[in-house]
Amino acid sequence: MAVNGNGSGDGRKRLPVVDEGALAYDHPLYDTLLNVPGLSVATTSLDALLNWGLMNSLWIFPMATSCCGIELMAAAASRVDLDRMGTIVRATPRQAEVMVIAGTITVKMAPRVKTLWEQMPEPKWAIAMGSCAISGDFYRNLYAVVPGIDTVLPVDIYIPGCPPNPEALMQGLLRLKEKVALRRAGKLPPHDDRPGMLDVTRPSIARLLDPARDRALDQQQEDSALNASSFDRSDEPEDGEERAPDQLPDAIASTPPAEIEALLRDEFGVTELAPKDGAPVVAADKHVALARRLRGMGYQIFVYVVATHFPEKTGKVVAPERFEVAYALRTVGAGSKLVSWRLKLEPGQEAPSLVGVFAGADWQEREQWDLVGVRFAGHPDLRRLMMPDNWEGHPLRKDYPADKACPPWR
Amino acid sequence: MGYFIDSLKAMATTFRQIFRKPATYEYPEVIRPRAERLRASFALPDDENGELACIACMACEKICPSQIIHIKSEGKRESPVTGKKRQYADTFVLDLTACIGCELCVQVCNSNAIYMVREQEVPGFEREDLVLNLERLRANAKSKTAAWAKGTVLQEMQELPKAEKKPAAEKKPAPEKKPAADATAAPPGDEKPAPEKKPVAEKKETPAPAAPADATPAAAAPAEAAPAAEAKAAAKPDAEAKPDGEAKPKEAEPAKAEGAKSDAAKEASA
Amino acid sequence: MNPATQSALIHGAVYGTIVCLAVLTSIAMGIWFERKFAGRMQSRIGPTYTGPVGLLQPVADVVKLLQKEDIIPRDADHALFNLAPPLAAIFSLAAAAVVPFSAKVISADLDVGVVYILGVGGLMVVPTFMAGWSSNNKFALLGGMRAIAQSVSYGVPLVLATMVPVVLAGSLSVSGIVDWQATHHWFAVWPILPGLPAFLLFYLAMLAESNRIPFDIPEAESELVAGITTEYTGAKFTLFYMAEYVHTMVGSAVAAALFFGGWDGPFAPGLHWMVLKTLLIFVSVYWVRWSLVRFRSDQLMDLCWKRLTPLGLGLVFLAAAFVQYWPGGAR
Repeated sequence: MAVNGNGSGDGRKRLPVVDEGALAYDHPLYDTLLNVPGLSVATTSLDALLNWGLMNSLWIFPMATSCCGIELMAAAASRVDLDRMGTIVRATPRQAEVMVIAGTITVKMAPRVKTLWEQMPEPKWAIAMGSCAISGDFYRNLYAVVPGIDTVLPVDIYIPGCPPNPEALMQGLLRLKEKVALRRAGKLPPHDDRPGMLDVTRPSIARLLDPARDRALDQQQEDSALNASSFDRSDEPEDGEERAPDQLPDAIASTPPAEIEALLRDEFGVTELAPKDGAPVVAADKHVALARRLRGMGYQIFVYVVATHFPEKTGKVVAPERFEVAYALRTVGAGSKLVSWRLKLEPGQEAPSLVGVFAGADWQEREQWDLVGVRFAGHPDLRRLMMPDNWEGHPLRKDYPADKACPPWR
Repeated sequence: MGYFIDSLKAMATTFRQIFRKPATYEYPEVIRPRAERLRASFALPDDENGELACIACMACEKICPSQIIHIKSEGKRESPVTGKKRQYADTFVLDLTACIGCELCVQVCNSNAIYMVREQEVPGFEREDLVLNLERLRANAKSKTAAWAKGTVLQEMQELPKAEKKPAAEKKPAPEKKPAADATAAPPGDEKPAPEKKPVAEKKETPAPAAPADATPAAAAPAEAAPAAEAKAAAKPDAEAKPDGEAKPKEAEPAKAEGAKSDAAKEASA
Repeated sequence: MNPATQSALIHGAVYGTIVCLAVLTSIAMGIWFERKFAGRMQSRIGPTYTGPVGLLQPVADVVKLLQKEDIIPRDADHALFNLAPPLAAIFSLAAAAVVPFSAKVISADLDVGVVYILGVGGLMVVPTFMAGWSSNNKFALLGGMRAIAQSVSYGVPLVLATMVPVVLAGSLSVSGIVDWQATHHWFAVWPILPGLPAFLLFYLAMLAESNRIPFDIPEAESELVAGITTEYTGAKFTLFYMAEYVHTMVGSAVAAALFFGGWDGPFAPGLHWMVLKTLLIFVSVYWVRWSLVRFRSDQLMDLCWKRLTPLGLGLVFLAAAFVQYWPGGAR
């Protein structure tokens, strides 16, 4: 397994199989007990009984994060009926033997999965159900996805499929029964290394523990990420033709109502409108005052704050790097009106926080800082919200490489 | 009170259920009929000469969104059976651990050398147990039931829209108002609007000789929209009245359909 | 110690042991039956792999649960955490002491048997809340809180429903009530007006006391993970699990004794009748469980205080009026 191109075997540790003969029992009672006539028969049958109990009562803890979870539910329902083999689903990890990881595990979720796994009492087993749980599927090179749950906890059974059907899950549980019996007997489950696949050079599980990580591929991904925001203009109308205006209801259209427009122009000195939807661009220092003013005018719902990173080069357009932060407020009740505005920020410039005006801005601003890297001046608790606390970088910036390294998974 | 009545109803339902036959298929012993399109694993079949059909053209390796197919070939060599020179896949590894079952590899295969099977692989104790190599893939071809289609079949299914494109492109430069005018000229109550139009449609077809016959009405259809819609009412007597050729009633159907479609399009644009 | 006390002690010990063993065995089979029964209601089959038609499934479950790791959360209150499961098992079994399974099979024929049953049944809330509090887990604590609110509230309709046979029979002894029914009528049959509604009231309150669907909000899997048992593993969870079933089983036996004449019945020995009636009520609990959905907390309180409690008061008055004014109804 030295040069396993498929990358999965060499990184993980096999669970050691206890060699009963090699263990030293120093206590003198042990020898005495060994010589009691009939005791070995009794212990063997007791062991068989205990093993029989284990094998026939495998309760599931469903770690279902996505579509495989639906198949997991279906497996407990009438067609397949896992209850036939004594398997029921328990909601608490304390009373389950088998954790079925059904779905994509993100790096934020992984520590939680690990915690839940550790909360399960021994003896316990894990089943990775479906491609995402086994290897991270085709998200495995993505910054936020764990490339296989077996990098986090020891997996006993891998069920292929996307998703596996309920019968496959049942087959997996039956395989687990085999494994339980084998382990109890001190044997390793059968495994052959199949040398035929080892000479494949390009690894499927690319990023995981790959010493010869392909820098060119990294660069390529970075480039494609940078160019991803260029607009595809092929479906735009040719000149001369008129395009029907976007059918937005009044409440959603972002051009401000007339009285707000006047207010913005006269009091807040707005001259610039965003090109696409005509949202006013407000200067950063007047922005909190504007929010407070609008709130007094009845715009009491804080709808969103969304930041976007514009790199230097967007497709063919070259412009100085900047961040745009879009805000939207809404009035309460029927016939609700919406007003939105933008801030344009230089790299490193901070946006004044609106937490003092709208409490609802708290988490939204945290999210924008976490993902895009816009700092909000005066925010009381600017921590990461979506990504793990030890994450480096801001994944929704356009210059963020798609498979950026983040310990311990990449 | 309503709650209690509903509760009694619910209990009656569950009670009746007790005497019905359970819906369960007892899985390892009884296997539920697998759907025709169930795609669980892969197989590499042999060709008619008993050799591996795969010629290592790498089409599947390139299209695979999960990048799980790895093929290596040592180049062309003579076939021991036919004596002709051809390429062989000497290593074919398919990593089922990251497969999403999209069947794209099957669709791009021109030599029908890979297809999906309905029976799933046995769950493995290690990730490596789910990596299919050449031997396992060939064994699958012998032991497992094929899913619904192979490469060339899937490609044929997708050819229709391609054929339609050509005449549509030709239509663009010259907006055909003539046939439309013809059609409107015909009195709506007349029995012959549809048969008149058909010759028009056939004329339009002739500029694109390569296009298959059933694509032709589509080309002329937008122009015909209005009359075809009128013809709808008269379609039945029409078809009965003109049994002069087999082709005509046949063509009437697609023309009608297309007419209806373009009608809808017109309304939408209006 | 005088001879009478001595013989009562021996009698109690012998019959108590027999009744306990019988109840425990029957709940093991009850669990198997419930899983099969639930399976058939859901168009499934239920356990088949373990033993003939899955009969050994509860045994396998217990064998497995007993060899699981015993986890006590670090911040839990160890003493209470360990004490709660056995207490739950003891209190749930204790009520069985005064239930007459036949004219002779009764562990302790108390004069105030009904009061004893209500008292011991009310005690069940103590281990429940001990478990919820000591686990140091928010779900367990919420479950414990809900259990207290529910048990205390539903204790009132339970007492009122129990009062009806007490008033009708003029006795607080369970065997006395059964005797009266054996010589007259079963209370669920006659007088039908306070009798049958009182049984339904008792049944609902019993479901609530033993935390069964539709009153299982202390467990409420979808909201509270596993309620009070969230942190319990292996053997301790087994005790809770068992206590829950025993509570239901004993409740069914009490209902059979108070309203359906207990061991009274034609053609067969009394024990058979009692067991049959108990099991029928026990099964009906599971029939309800697998058919209905859970009440919300506020609906639960609404049902108890605004509907069931006034109904119970009315029924007690009716029973008293029946005894006083119905020709032949007076004792």
